[in-house]
Amino acid sequence: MAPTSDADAAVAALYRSHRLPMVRLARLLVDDLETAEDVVQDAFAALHRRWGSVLVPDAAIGYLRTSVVNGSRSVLRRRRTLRANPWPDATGWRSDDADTRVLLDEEHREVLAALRKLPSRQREVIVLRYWAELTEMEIATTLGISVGSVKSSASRGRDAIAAMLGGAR
Amino acid sequence: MSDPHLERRLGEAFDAAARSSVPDAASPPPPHFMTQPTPSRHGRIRWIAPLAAAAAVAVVAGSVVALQGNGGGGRKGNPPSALAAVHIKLATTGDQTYGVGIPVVAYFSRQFASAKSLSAATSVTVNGTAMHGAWYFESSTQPGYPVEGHLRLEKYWPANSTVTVNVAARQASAGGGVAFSNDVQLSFRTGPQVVATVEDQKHRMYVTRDGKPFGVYRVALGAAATPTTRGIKVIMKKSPSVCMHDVNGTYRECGIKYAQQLTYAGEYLHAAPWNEGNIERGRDTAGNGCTNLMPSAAATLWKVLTVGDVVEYPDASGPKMQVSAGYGDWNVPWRTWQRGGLIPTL
Repeated sequence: MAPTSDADAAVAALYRSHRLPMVRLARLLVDDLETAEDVVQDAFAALHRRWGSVLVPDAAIGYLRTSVVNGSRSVLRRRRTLRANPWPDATGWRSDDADTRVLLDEEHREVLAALRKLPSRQREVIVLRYWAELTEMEIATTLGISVGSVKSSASRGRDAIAAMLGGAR
Repeated sequence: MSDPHLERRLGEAFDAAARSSVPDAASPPPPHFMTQPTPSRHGRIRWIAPLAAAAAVAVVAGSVVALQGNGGGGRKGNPPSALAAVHIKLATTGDQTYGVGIPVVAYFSRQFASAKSLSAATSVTVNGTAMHGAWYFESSTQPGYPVEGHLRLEKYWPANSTVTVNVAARQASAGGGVAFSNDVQLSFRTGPQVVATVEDQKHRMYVTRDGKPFGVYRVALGAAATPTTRGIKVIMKKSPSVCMHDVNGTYRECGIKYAQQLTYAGEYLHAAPWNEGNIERGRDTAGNGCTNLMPSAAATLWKVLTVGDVVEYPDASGPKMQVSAGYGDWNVPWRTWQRGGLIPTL
């Protein structure tokens, strides 16, 4: 479908280049790939709706990132109220695609299982810090919290993961 | 478990999970926003956080530091995940022998916010032993590469040694979501430690080699109107014969022999046969801050000095040499150097 407006062309370009890293970010925050894909589709749709009216184009990706984090949080919150067991297990991390050659080893699954058990704010801060590699200021902006809150969430999240992983390794 | 160890495990686990559960797809699903103008079944996303003011650079969510030479995802010819990437172009040629003052020089294809990951991705070894080098950044005049980075140790390279530099920066974060697009490696040798000290008061250049006196040569430095700058310089380039012109463009002369360049603006060591009288008498009359030498001295120094050798001007009459005027790196105190200059490394 040929682009019919500035928003179409611009957001289509961002979609081509940023969909993949955004889905990976969402996947680290939510249960499964399909949900992650949906969250990202919604984020791009929201961006498309707001294009030109509110956003400066260079801020688009910051907007996408915040949308993805918010969307992920919403999904998990809704799911938690529906499930008896609020914590999905770490087997959700097994590759969704049977042909993928990169498999997760025991050490990685342990880390991801620990991540799963964190409260959502700490999990988000840890993922944005150690996967997306954002600065504390950028994380604060993405989540709409203070830099101080980012620091304390990161610290608590790290301590919690370290405690869950134990001193064995 | 110590923090750096935990942080490394977090980064690796996330990278592995992200790549295994979301493999690069040949054809991504069609975007909903082109076909569904209304929100999807999950409902509207509430926009909570106010946007920061626009940065000058587009940002990306997915850059990962390859802390352990992540060969899995990165080497399969994946397209870079950053819309805006910084390309690193190494300027220093490898497999050569340089003087001990040579900085490793690289150009960067765009401005970026942080060199912290670049520093973490950089390793320097001398004769196989790891040593602590640091990057310092300046503006560059290279077309297409607005940033110039210099890498050095706290002191001159050890003499007669093999230096290897490995910058495993591909996909490492450059701050603001931007990532570096490539790795660079460099290997070179250093020759003997050659340091020349040019004393204006005495109108002499004293050359030492591996700490022992090598020779003394008469010099005439820059005239009052075109003084020689003060500080520690490094030979950047040797030309058997060059054309020189002054900054005002009032003269242009070619065939100037045994030219060894010390600053971008045109300070050279060179033979000045037209000026032998003033060199003998120690009268500073050189144009462009050059160091005039007797032809025989210039020829000797041409054989003795190498690109990377150090030439000090402790009492030259001109202003202090700026770091960006040439390889002015040794004039920057180590504490300042380690902060990174134009781009923070801490």
